[in-house]
Amino acid sequence: MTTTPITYSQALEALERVVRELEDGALPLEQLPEKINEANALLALCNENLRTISSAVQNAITGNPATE
Amino acid sequence: MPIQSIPLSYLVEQIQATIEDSFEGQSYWVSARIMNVKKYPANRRCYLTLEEYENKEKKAEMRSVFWATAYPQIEKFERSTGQPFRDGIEITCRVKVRFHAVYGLNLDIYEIDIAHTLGQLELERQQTLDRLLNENSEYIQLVEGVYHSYNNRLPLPAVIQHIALITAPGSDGQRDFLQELARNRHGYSFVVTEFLTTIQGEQASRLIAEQLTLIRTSPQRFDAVAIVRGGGAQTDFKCFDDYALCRAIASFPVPVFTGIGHDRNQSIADLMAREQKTPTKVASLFVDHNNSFENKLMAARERMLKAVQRRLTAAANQLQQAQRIVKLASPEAILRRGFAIIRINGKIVTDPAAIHPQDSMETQLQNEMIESIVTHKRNDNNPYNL
Repeated sequence: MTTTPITYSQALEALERVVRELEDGALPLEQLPEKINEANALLALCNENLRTISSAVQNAITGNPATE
Repeated sequence: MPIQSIPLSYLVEQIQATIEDSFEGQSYWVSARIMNVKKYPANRRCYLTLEEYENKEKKAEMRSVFWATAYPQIEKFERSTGQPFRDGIEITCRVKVRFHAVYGLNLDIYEIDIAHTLGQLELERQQTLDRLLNENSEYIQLVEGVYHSYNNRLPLPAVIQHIALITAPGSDGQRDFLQELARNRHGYSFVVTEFLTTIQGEQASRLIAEQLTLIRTSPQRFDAVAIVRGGGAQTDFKCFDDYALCRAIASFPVPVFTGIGHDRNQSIADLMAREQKTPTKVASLFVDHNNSFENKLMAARERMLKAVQRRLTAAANQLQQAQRIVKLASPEAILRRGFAIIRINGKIVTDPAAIHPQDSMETQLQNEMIESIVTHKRNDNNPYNL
């Protein structure tokens, strides 16, 4: 479980869906930027969540309670 | 008449002589439970009692001792069996009877039959495994020699980030685990909630099971549970073979990982969970797991970029193609190919029937405009036979 509105696996699924749509070739050209933005947002969200939870491990090491 | 007495020492000498007559130079293999164990590693001595029980009733007890020459037997026992030499263990050992005028009757222990103890331990372990299988078939199955538990078959979440850590406070295992997570080279973040308890000794299995209950009932959601220990002696793993604890792990709803630093063989808890040998290995598995998720993201990103590139290239090609067609269809291109545009009264003539003899018309060729008068018309049914 994560604190993000969607889970990591949901984010990956959504990203792969976008990629399949793009690979499919049926998408109208004018929808391309929107889809790319959607994919980039998912990538950025995952990247941020993987790395920026407020140094919880450090807190555990120094004995402070871990916070989310 | 006054009572005749003899000095105590005289009687004691008689006892000693009798005992020596019977037992001098002989040793015996005896099976007994060890109790009142007092180890003095510095002096390399161990005092204890050997006891025998039948239906919980004591049948025999003898004070016994390991002298310095036999003390390595205790160390070998602990190394080989993975459990401390302590009260309550059944052993088979070789003893000699010795009587001392002051200290009385003793058994000197020379040797322990470690194979016997190992056999006993293995038997107990197998009995626990059989019981787990028989009484919990909904949670535990043996499939082609591998123990499948509900827990170790749970799918892992895409990312393991919220971790419940069961360990002993201030232990090397705790430190190693947290440091491995904190120093991961990818910069991943983890949220570790510690459930600290004793994980050695007789109470350990119950205390660990209690921590599992706390985790199960916690309002926090966890991606994984890590049970780690390390840094202690390579003994005292018996709690990880405890029936109730192993059953709790097997049916636990969040994936459990063990890193209990066991270099001898797998404990039953290891079999019911996902086993990594050390706390560090559990932590690095979490890091690798998250890295493999990130690799999937990167692979999807690569595919996306290629797909977009393909799509844009195709669109550009289409556009070029369209431009070529437009160019070919332009009047200039048509005129260059030898066709002409005919106008009468400034209007382009597309229907030959609109042209009559004596009409004044303009014929536009590539670079020239020809003005002419129509003299006569005739039908040509094969106009392209040029």
